[in-house]
Amino acid sequence: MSGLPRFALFGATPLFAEPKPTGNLYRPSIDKFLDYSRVFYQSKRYTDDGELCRMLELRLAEFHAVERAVAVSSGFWGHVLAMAALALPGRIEIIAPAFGYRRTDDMIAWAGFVPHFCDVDPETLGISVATIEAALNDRTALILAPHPMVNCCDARGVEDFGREHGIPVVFDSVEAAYRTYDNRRIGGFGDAEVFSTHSTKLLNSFEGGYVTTKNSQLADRLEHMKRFGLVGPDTVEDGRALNAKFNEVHAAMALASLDEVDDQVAPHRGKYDLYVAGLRNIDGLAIVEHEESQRPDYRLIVVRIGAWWPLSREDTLRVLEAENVLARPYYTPLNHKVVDYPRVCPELPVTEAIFRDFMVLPSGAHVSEDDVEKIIDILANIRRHGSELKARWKTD
Amino acid sequence: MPPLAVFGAKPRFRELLPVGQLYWPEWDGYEKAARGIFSRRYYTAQRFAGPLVVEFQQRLQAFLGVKHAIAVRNATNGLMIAAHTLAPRGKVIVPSWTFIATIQSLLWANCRPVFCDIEPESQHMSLVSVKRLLEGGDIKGILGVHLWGNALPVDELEMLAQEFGVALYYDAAHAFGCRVNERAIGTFGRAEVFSFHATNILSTAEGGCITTDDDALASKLRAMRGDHVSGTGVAMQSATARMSEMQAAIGLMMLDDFERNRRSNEEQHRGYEHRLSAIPGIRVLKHPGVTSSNFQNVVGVVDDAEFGLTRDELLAVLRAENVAAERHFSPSSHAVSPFSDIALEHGQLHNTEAAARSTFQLPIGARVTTDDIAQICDVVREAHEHAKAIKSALAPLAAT
Repeated sequence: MSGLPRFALFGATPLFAEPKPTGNLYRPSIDKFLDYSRVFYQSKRYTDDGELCRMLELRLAEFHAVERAVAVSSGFWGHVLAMAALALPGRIEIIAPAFGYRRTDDMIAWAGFVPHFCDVDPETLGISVATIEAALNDRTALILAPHPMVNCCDARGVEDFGREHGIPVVFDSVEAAYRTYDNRRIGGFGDAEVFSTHSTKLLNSFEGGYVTTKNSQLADRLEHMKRFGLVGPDTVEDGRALNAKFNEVHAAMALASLDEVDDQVAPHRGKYDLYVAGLRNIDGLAIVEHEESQRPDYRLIVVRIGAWWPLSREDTLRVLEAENVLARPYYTPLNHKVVDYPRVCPELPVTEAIFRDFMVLPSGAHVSEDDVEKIIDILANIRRHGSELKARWKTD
Repeated sequence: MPPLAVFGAKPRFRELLPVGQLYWPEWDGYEKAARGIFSRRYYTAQRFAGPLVVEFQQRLQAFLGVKHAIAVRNATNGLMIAAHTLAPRGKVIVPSWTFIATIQSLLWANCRPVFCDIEPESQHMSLVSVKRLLEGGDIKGILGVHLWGNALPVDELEMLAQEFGVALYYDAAHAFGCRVNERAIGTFGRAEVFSFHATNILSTAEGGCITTDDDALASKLRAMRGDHVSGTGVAMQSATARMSEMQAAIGLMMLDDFERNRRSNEEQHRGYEHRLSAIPGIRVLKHPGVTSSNFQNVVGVVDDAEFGLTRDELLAVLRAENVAAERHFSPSSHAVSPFSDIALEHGQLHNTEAAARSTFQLPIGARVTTDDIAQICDVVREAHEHAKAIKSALAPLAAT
C-alpha cells in the first residue's frame, strides 16, 4: 500500500486549506456596490419598492428581453407567489420532477398544492412533454418545469404543451439565467419564469430572486402579492399575499452583479475547458457538456459517473470532502424524502436508474484554474488507486 | 382662514414626512461592514449561518435574555414558520386589529384565524373575547399581538393558554426592546416574532427574528428557515427565510444605537402627548402594559363629535401638509377577502370596528425633529378649530 498517494481521508493534510464550493459566490466590485448604496443613503428609503428595486426590475426585464421582472425576497417565494397567482382554480396538483431542487415539493406545499412528481428525460435530465403527459390528469393545476443545471429542458415543447392543454406553465430557471433556447432568451417562456439571486447563483444579491413574465397583469398582481396585497399606502385588497419584498441593500448588490454579468462568462469557460480536458483522460467520469447554441454561462460542472469508476458516488464525495472539495450530488430524488404532507409519487424509472450517477464539482467565482487542476489530480488519483482506497477503507 | 394646505396654502412640509422609524447606521459603519463581507466572501448562510448572523443572534439573545434568537428574512416569514410549527392546520385565535401580515401568516400555514375583539382603551386583544372563543372549543393556538410599543397582559394570557392547553405565541413586530417588569418581550409564550422592517425601532431594512427558550422548537424553526440540516428523518416543510450577512451587519449596528434611538423616541412621544392632550377629541394611546416602552409609534384616536372632524378628514388635512399620517390597519383584517368569508357573530368585533374608524398614526423617528412635531400638532389643533370650514372644503372631494 506504499503506492497510495496521500489522501486527507486517511489523515493527510487536506489539499485545500479552505472549502472549495460549487456555488458561484460572485464578488462584484465593492465600489459599485457602495455607489448604488449611496442612493438609499440619500433617499433614506431602505425597502418597500424603493428606487434601486425598481431600477433592478427594469434592468432584469431588459436582460431577459421580456416585458416585466418582479424582484422578490427569494426564488422560493417567487415560485410560491407565481403558483398561487397562476394555478387553475379548483385544481390541486402541480406537476414537477422529483429529480430537482430539494425544496421544490416544500414550495408547492406552502403554496397550498400537492406535488405530482414526474420523471425526467435521460438525455436532458429535465422534464419533457412525454414525462409531463404521464402525470397529467383532471386535477392538474400547473406545470412546474425546471431547467437542469446544464442546458435547457425542451422549453418550447413544454410551453406548447401547456398552451394546448390550457395548463399554466412556470419555468424554474434558477440555473438558466444566462441561456437562450431556440434563439430566445430564457425569461420569456411559459406564463412565468422564476430566478434566484442567492449568492451561489449567477447574480449575487446576498439573498433574493425574481419572476419574469410577458404578462403585465400577472406582474402587477405579483407586485401586490409580494407586499401584503397592498394597493395603496394603507389599503389591502387581497389577503392572499405575504412579504416577499426585495430590500434596497440587496438591490444594490444585485445591480452591481448585473453590471458585470457578461464578464463572468470567460473565466467560467476557462475552468470548464480545463475540466473537459482533464476529465477526458479519466476513465469512468464524463462531463455533461454545455450546449454552445444555448448561450451557456459555463458556470456549473456536472459529471456523470460511469461503470468504470471504482467508487460509489457517496464514497467519492467523502474522499473529496476530506480534501475540502465540496462536491455534491446532483439532486436527490424528492420522492425519497419523508415528509408529513400529501404528494403523488408514481414510479419514476429513469430517475431511479440514473440519480446516483451524477455529481456537481466545484466551480464559480471562488474557484481558480489552479484549483481545478488540483481537483482533477485528486480525481485521477481516485481512479488510479480505487481498489487500494477501498481496501484501506475496509481495514480502517 | 388659517394657512392650511387643505385650503390651498403651501404645505407645511416640503417633502413627504413618513410615519416609520427609519433609523439607519452611519455610512462609515456600513462601508466597513460591506468590505468585511466582501473579503470573507460569506454573503449569506451557505452550509451554516454566516459569522455576522451568528453574532447578531447571540447579541439579540443576550439583549433579550432568551435562549434562542433565530434571525429571519422578514417577520411574515417568521410568523408563517411559527404558525406551521406551533398550530399546524389548526384554528388560531388572533385579533383582527393588527397588520394584515399577522393574519396572512396563518393562511399560508393552513391555519384558520378565529378573530377576537379588542379592549377600547389599549386596543389590545380582549381577554374576555379570547376566553369566550376558547370556550367555544377546537382551538389550537393563540397568536397575541403586542401593539405599538405596548404589551398584552402576558400573565393572564399564559394562564388561559395553560387552562385550555393551546399554544400561545406572539407577534411582537412593534415591541422590540419593551419590558414587562424587567422581563423583555421576546421571552413570553412558546415563541415571539419581531420585525426588523425599517419602520420599526431596530432595522435591518427587511428582517426579523423568532425567539424561544424551547430547544426542540428552535431546531425545528432553524430547519424551516432553510438552514443546512444534517441527518435524515422526517424533513420539515422548509422555506427560505434566512437573513443575509449584510442585513445582520446593519442589525448589529442598530443594536448599538438602540438605547439612543429609544430615548429619542421617548422624547418625541412626550412632545406629541403634551401638545395633543390639549386638543379636544384627540386621545394618544399610552403604554400601561409595559414597564419600559420603545415608544416607536405615536397612535391617536379621534372622537368625531368632540374633535369636529372624522379621522379620515383629519388625515386628509395632514396629508395635504405632506405628513404621511396613516390609518395603519385599513381595512381591518376581517374585512379583507378571503378572511371576510369567515362567519362572525353580530357585534363580535364591535370595538375593532370602532378603532378602525377612529385610529391614526403620526411620524416618529429618525426623520422627525422637535419642530416637525410642533408643526404637526399645530395642524391638528387648527384642524379642530376650523373643523366646519374644513368639512365644507372637503365635502366636494368626498362627493367625487
